[in-house]
Amino acid sequence: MAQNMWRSIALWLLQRITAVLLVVFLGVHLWASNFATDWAALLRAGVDISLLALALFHGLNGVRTVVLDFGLGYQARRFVSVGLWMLGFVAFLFGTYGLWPLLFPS
Amino acid sequence: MGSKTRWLLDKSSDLNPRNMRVGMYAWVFQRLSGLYLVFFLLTHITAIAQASFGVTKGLQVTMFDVLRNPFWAGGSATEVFDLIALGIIAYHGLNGIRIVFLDLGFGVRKHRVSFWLTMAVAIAISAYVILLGLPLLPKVT
Repeated sequence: MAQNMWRSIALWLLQRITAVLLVVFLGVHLWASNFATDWAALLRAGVDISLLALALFHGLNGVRTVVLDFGLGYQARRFVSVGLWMLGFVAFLFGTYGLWPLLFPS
Repeated sequence: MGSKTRWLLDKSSDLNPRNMRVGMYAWVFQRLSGLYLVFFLLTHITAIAQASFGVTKGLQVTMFDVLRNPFWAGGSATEVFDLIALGIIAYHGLNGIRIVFLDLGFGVRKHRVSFWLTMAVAIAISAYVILLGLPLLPKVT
């Protein structure tokens, strides 16, 4: 029980931390994607990969929050949490795979 | 009224519009915009992967054409889908910053004022990008 409590607190805090980082990184992302110069290419690569991870975590953890507010049982909560982690992991790999040729053109 | 919809529509429900005030609307819009943005993120990831691998036909491309050019855009190559997302991101992000401040204990007494300020800034950002920023963007076809 205590372990679950600390996990919930950590997820709540991470939701806030990723929120602030997303606002900062999104500004750089919008600028670098549309008005980028050559020197910004490496910045863009770092920001875009970070954004992918941050946005997926924040978004899917948000979905988890919304779903869990409907009051599910323990088994259903585990199913939702594990399912969203798997979706996020697959989406991160696929997103990186798709982003790579744009970030590092050969 | 069925028992399944009572939690939403009953007179005593927190989500019945007659019981909702500014803070509740902010909360509901934050959740709805968040869910929309998850949908946008997944389509954004797929659209970028598709662009980077040069996919130009197939069911998925047709789907994105529909998403990017809804009927009100007259079928022109406008980025309506991205622009809608931008406005929603502006609201969700600014209201999110407001939530962080409220959680830290700042501005609790002024939460109604800060909500309307948030809305005004979000609309201003959207208007700025649509009216002034958009013509500056390089053409990507």
